[in-house]
Amino acid sequence: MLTFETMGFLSFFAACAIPIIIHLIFRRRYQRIRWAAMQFLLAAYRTTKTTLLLENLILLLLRILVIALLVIVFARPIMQVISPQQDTKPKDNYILVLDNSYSMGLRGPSTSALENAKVQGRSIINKAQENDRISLLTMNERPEIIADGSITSEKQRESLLRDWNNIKVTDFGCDLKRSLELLQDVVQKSEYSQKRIAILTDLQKITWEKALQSPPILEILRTIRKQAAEFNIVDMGHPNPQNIGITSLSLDGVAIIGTPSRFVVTIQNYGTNTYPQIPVLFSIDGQKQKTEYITLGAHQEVDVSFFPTLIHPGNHYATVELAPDPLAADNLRHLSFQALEQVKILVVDGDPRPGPFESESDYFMAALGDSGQSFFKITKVLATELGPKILLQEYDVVVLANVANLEYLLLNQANRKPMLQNFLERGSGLWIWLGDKITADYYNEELYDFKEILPGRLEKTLGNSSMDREVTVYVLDEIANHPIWRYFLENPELMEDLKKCFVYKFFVVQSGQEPGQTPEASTEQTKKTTTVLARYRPSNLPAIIERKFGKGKVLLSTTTLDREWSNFHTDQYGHVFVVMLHEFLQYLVAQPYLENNLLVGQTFTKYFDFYIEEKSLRATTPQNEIASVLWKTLDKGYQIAYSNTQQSGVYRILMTIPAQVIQEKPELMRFLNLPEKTEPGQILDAGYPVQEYLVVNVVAEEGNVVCLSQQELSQKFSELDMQIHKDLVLQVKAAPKKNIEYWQYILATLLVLSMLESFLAMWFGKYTK
Amino acid sequence: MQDDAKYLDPKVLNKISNLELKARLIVEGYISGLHKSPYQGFSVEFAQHREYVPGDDIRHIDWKVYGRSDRYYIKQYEEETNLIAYFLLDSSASMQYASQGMSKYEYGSHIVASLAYLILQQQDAASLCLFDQEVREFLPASANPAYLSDFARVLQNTSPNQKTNMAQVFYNIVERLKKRGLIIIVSDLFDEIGSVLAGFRHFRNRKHDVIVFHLLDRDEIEMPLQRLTLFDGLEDEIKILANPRALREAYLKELRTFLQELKSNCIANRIDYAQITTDQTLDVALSAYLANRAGKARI
Repeated sequence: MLTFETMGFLSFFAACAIPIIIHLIFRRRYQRIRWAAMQFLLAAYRTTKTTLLLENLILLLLRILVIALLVIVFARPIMQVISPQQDTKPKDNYILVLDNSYSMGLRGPSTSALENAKVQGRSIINKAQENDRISLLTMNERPEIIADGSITSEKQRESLLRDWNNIKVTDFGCDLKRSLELLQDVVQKSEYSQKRIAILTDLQKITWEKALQSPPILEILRTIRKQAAEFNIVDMGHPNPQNIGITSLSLDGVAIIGTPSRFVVTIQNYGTNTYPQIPVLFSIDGQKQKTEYITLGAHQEVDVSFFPTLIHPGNHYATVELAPDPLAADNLRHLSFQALEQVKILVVDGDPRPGPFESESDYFMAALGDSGQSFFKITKVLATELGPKILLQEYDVVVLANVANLEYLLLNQANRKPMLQNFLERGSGLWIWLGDKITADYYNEELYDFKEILPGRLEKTLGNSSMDREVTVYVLDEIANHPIWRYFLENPELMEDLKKCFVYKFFVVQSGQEPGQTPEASTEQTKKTTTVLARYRPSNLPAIIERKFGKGKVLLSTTTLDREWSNFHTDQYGHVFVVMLHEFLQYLVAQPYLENNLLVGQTFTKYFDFYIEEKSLRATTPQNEIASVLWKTLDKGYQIAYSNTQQSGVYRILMTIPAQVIQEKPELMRFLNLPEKTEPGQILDAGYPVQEYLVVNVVAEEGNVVCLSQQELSQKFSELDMQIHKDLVLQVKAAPKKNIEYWQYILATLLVLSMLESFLAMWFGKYTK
Repeated sequence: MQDDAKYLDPKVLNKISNLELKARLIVEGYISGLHKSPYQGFSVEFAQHREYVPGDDIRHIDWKVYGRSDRYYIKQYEEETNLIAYFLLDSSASMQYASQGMSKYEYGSHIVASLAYLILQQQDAASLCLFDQEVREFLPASANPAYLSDFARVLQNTSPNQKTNMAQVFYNIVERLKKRGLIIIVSDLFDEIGSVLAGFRHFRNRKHDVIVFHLLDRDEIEMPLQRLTLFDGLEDEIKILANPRALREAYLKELRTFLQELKSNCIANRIDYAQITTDQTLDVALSAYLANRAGKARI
């Protein structure tokens, strides 16, 4: 390592400007002569101009170099090298773990936490002795060993320093467990006797508090501690961190073109400052829509709604952006969503009657409006009218109202394919209302036992119909905290009214999920797919159950759609019925689109039951770089995958669907958002290009920059015999170093250069008369 | 003689404002040294005999001598000329240059005045033309000795300040000259070499005898300047800031090339060329040239 004995002399480098100054001064001091023989002078000047310039430049540079070397000689340069006579036995293993989750990008008054941490780490690498081992690890959701090597030479030390300096803040959150497991692995494999560990982190409260209460993580920490000579946590967090972040961006319901859609943005202030008039910019497909201004108090969370009206159907992405603050990563959030032209609903009435509001679906039709202005386009058929003319793929939702016979829906007589299953797998919704026409055994056999469409097994009915003399009412209760109830949960008065609605009679349904249980705790067979959305009081039996099927959803209402078994339609609670129908139908239609909305590091996979061209598949990253997408054939279709999502932002997946595929599957017209009247011949011969937006967001929690307090720290870590520091204080014995002085060589060079300058000056004729 | 000679020093002559007086001093000082007219030819007054060489005109063979000696001799006579001498003095701005004492224009004026004095003394006619890029002054030929005062007046009243264009101006002059004569050009010849030579050829094509006094300053020949200098062109707007020491070699090379080309072309065109520097004493400069010319005439 190069250093100087008398550093102060280096300031005399300014003297290097002297030759330039002299040159400039002399250029201003000249005599003026009126000259007659200009033609010869001009010719001479033209022929010698370049040579003279070059000569002058060489002389000027030489003179500057001479002065610079003179300054260096006086500063006495010394090269510090490790003495080759040192002990070569393995020594200490310094293991530096650097948290580079995005919260470490939080900027303080001048630098970020990560930059501060890197400064501290550099000092350890610089001080380490020869043959010490340095292991550099990162801490985030995908922890890595950045470098692991012994310092056998200065070159190796420089290489380690370079690797350390190259660590950058990622868009990942912090996965403490995975990071500590990697650290444990490194510690266990290290053969060095003295393992000195330092974790440089901002000690985010949300991460570390949870970790220190988790027995497996504590066990890992204890194991590491036992094997390490030193185990330090270096607190790189800022004393009073301030950050505002977007924690969520969601579409409320479904986006229909020509109708305002509601997007809800949640913004959280993690700090103690109050921020007035923060601009929140909302855009669709990169086009600015609106800016709202909000005021955020300390630790306050605020929801902001935007109501854009979309014009084109298909896949879009919404973006919300906050004004810059100390932590940039969570100031931006995206949402990929699908905009529909309209919601097409097929209502199958299983109990038609001649009088008004006597048929099974009359109230349903009245509640949704049949004026043609609604975005719900409802087609009502009688159960007896089901036949080849009814194509399920033309609808988004099918509502079965007390339909006794499902034969046609279950199997397409024309091509013998399971229609209802295909319909659901593609992402459509099925809402089943029961009634007196339903035979439990038939439904169980056709929809539950093998096909697993029905959310639960139908058993007996309970209660009496409204026409009976003695009625017992069952009130809707135990409303699940589920997105389907979002509007009710946000409106307490409406929820109160909901809980006053009751039914007279319903089917007892065995859903596999016991009262009070979460879906995770229900039976193995159904736990992943079934959710009880509401129960009846006093029986505690399921009132509404949801089951996921493929990409689609099935809702089962255990009572009737008409007033035969329920009182949803009375004047008193009619508004609840209307809201519930709208909310439930939108929920059924709304594609969760989870596959297109990922967190940093997650893999995008998508299944297609039709052929897409492999060669046309590609992705563009947020930086507009082209990337390849994996493609593979499955038994029943094709799957694409893209996993390089380590940066947040909007990715585009581009693919082409061959013309032949579209001609064979006209239902794809809707998938491609082609006009319905498009004839197959109008499809491009080269196929139809499709673009999907894949958005990748940061983990919102990581934006919570509140750190553990000193008291909490010392209390928690004292149990583990770990040290908390603000500065990195690993014990490093500085290696004795040998100083090699260079001033003699530089002086010799200086003399040679001076002579060269004199010689050249004479050679160039500057001193000749 | 000694007293006269001291006035032939350019520095001394520069102090004498009367050009006519100065011309007389120069020429009389010169004559007192030579005691002989330099102009010899085939005129009426016998001067000497010389042996015949092939190429001589046989009309000039002295048959009487041949009858007595069986040898061919040529009779030579003192020239009784009706010579017209046309003095062409460059009055362009470059003639202003003077590293010390007398400028090239002043020096040239002395040459013109002195030779005009000589010519007029011999009852020959003299004419004067001052030129730069055009004819500035023109005195027609006259053999009256009092004409010298007109010469002196014109020379003194002109100040050089224009550019030179010799080819064009010499063409214009030659068109004005009605009779063949002796053209005496006094100039620094700072123009394109092609233009200069083209001008000379105009005179030679009309069978004029041409003498060129090439006037240069010592500094122009040697470029002895040392300090960083801003060279400001006398005849144009060009300015060059340069170290003269660095340019010297290339400058002298350019000048030498110019002079060599000039001399060789003068010889080829049978033009008498004399290079004179302004630090030379005028009588020495003139006598050296005239003696040289006299020598040629004898051959």
